[in-house]
Amino acid sequence: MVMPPDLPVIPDANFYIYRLQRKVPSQILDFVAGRNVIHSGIACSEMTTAVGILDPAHSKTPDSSAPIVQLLETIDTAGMVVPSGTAWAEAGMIAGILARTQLLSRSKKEMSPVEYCCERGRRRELLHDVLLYLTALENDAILVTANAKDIDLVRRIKPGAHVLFYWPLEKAAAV
Amino acid sequence: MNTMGTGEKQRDGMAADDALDDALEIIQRVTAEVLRARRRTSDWMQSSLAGNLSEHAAPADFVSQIAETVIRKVGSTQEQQVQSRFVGDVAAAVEDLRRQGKAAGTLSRRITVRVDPGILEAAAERFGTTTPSDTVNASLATAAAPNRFKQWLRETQDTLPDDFELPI
Repeated sequence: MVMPPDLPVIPDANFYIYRLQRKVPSQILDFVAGRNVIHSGIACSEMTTAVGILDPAHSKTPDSSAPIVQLLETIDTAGMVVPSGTAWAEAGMIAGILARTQLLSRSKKEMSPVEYCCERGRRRELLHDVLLYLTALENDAILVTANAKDIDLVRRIKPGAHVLFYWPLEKAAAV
Repeated sequence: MNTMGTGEKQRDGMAADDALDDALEIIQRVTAEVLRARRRTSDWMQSSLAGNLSEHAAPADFVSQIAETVIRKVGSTQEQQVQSRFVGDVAAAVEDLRRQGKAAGTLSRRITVRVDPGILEAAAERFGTTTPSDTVNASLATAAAPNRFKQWLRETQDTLPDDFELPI
């Protein structure tokens, strides 16, 4: 694994989640622990959505929300980064191109309500992926992600950002 | 009948101006500290979780820290409490160092250093500090304290259910 020395890292949201599920390979953990870590507002928003969406009255909610809240407590907000306005605009364009080329651009009339809803959600996922990628690019940081499928597509349209892909442990075991 | 002389009136007027300046400085500092306190992820998150979505009030411990700052300023006490000078991430760093027995709790050692003015300014901007002394203390505290995220990354025993997935 050859990565530029001294560059900071930006984990995607799943990195934090996989850490809590013991699915991040130890080499990746060591790599991240040895670098300056920048936290993305995009990734943090995905995690806070997970906390907000859980029913506070449900008995199982603390099992999922408490570990994420504990994690967020450790994040220095002064070190958190967000995409610039330009990045947001560019991300929309790239996500749109990806939606078209990945056949996620059918009109509402061509789909069932369920398909339409699913496709809209998928496009938003792509937008988040592009935003995260552009955040890494703007901050000259290494994006750490297991989402090879989508980020690789983004890289083809907008090369330049450093990306460290890894397989979550259960997938690695299956390969 | 007012028997005060012109000189006394001028002195009283200057004292009143000084008091007003002090009060304004305190208000500015308190406002800045409340705003910074509200920026902390955990604070607004806790407020949201409590259903307080419209107004994220500063938590009680920050209010007490601010109160200490005000009391110190107004009372001109000689005791310089390290912890009450800062909020947010710097306060957390100082607290970590205090727990480890590394923070003495007083600003008793005087040092003279030359610094890069640009870096000092950038650090002041990051911490929201208004004096070089506060900026240097904040920088030292954050440099000396353990990185809380990296500690979490290496040591956390928390777990999420295996089937947990992010909703978006």
